[in-house]
Amino acid sequence: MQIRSAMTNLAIKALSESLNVDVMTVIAEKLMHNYDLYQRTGYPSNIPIQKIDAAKQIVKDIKQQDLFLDLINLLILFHTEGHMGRKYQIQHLKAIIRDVQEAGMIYDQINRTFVENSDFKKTRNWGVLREGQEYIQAFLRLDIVGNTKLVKKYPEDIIQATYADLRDIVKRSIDAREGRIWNWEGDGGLVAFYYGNKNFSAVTSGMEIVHDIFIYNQVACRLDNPLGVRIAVHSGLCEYTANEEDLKKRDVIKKLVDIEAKYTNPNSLSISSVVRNSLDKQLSSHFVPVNGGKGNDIFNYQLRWVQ
Amino acid sequence: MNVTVFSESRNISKCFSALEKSREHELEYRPLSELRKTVKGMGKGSFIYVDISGMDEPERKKTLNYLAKLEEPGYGIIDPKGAVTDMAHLFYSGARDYIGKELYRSGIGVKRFALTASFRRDPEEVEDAGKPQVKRDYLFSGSDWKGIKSGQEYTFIFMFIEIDNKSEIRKMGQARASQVTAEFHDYVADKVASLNGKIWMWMDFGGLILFPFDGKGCDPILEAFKMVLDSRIASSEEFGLDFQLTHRIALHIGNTVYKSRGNTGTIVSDSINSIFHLGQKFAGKGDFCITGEVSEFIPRGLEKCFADAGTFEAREIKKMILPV
Repeated sequence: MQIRSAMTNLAIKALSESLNVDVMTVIAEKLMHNYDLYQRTGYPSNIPIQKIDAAKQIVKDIKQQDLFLDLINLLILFHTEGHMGRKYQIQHLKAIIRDVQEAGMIYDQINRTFVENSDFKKTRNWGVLREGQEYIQAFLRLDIVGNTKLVKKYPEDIIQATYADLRDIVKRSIDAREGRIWNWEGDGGLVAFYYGNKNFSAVTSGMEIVHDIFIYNQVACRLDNPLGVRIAVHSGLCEYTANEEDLKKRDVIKKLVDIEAKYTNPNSLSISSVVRNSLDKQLSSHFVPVNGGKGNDIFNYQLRWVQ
Repeated sequence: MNVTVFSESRNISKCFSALEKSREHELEYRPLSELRKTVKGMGKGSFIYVDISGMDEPERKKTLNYLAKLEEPGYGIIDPKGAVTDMAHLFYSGARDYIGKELYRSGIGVKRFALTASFRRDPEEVEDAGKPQVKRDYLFSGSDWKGIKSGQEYTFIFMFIEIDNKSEIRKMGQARASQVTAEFHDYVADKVASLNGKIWMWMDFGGLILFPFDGKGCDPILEAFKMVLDSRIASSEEFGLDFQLTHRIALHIGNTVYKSRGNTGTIVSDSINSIFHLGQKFAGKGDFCITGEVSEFIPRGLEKCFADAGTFEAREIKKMILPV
């Protein structure tokens, strides 16, 4: 996100008019490890730093380290919930939030962070995830059953059209829930969720994909047999990387692949217990333990019909 | 042209004597038992007449249904006893000639047959022959709302939808109940908007949606089908409920005078009565019911997801087979 000078000035005013230097220093230290305001401003250690100088220096350093949105997130937190038992009235906060929103970001109330507004821009990292940093995320993986056999059996145009249909189904479902496709290899892919209630979004996306594939197989599938897709959802702490090979080595992704490959029937959705435990009673009631719950903590959803 | 006459009557050739004399056409007479076998190899240069005078009603119906499915050769019906009561329907079904009592006596002239031979169904009708045939009293409202005027009668697709869990929602208190029902209204409006559907009447827990109908298809079937499947998602995602909100849906195609929402109090319509009765009296919890008028348009492949549910108010009803 581009930080315009008007926004910078507002942030400086917000800090200097709302907080004393000590609290400003606490905020700076939260965002920048081992931050030394005296060293950064050049003030001698025996002279109190002026509020406006402290604010200018902190905002300048925060901008340089690309942490401006994190600063605003913290200011919102100090304003709404306080810090160490004390609330702070942050001046100009509404104007700052308005400016950030005009710059194409929206505030995610659940995760208390700004993310890009997908009406304006849609990037892999929601405009906020940084390489090498860890975030709690939910992931959805899909895999077409018997891809190799299908590719051998059908002409390329049929395969391409079928896989494009699947991608459309997936995209429609995840776009509505702010998911991002991180990897798509034709026969399946990996979708990440960070915005809002990420586990819930990943699960409802997966359920909707199960429904849509069922309908697709009845009315639009070009293959002789129904298209089979295995879907899995798992979540956890994951170090962000844009490198797909590195991503595969992350524990959360390895477990996700395991759930999909070992515990998921075609055209069904399997989720880990971590994910299931975060769902509401109504939604989780549609999931049943895989293998009767013996030897694993995986739960499965599929369309079942009255016989 | 090769003209083949299928009849059991000995005197049938009298009716075609003028054609025989003209030598412009090759005439052949065959028994009715050879109709299907003979027709198989016939193409555009052929024409057949079928004498239905010796048939009982089931046989006549069966034969006329068979002929209605023929694209070629062209066919005419010989009916000296006046057994057919709706001649127009014969032509809607593809017949190109009808020989009634008087004409049977006077015989067919060359000029008349020339007209018969050149008479063809509308090419679009021929193209659409494999598609569902719609009732002829339909007053198509089109594919959108542009041509629909208040006070005029049109054929619409009617969707009735209503929440099942009324008592559970009422128990949540008036404020929360109002919030859920308002959210449900918006949810339904959003789902039907892409199909040009408009909420036309609304009570607390549900209402009636109108879709323009052009006779070519019934997209709300698929949308309603998806809504039934997705209701378990929507209960949490859209309404924030800790129980599954289910709804019953009924679809029907029929006529009504159109008036804008809020001004519908004086409309008298069999279709509106039917759809409300179907939704409120026949459909059960979570059901998705469709009338015979709608079931003609079930997308190919989805038929097996619907089961016959008997008749209700003289209409054949199908119900979606529900997931458990």
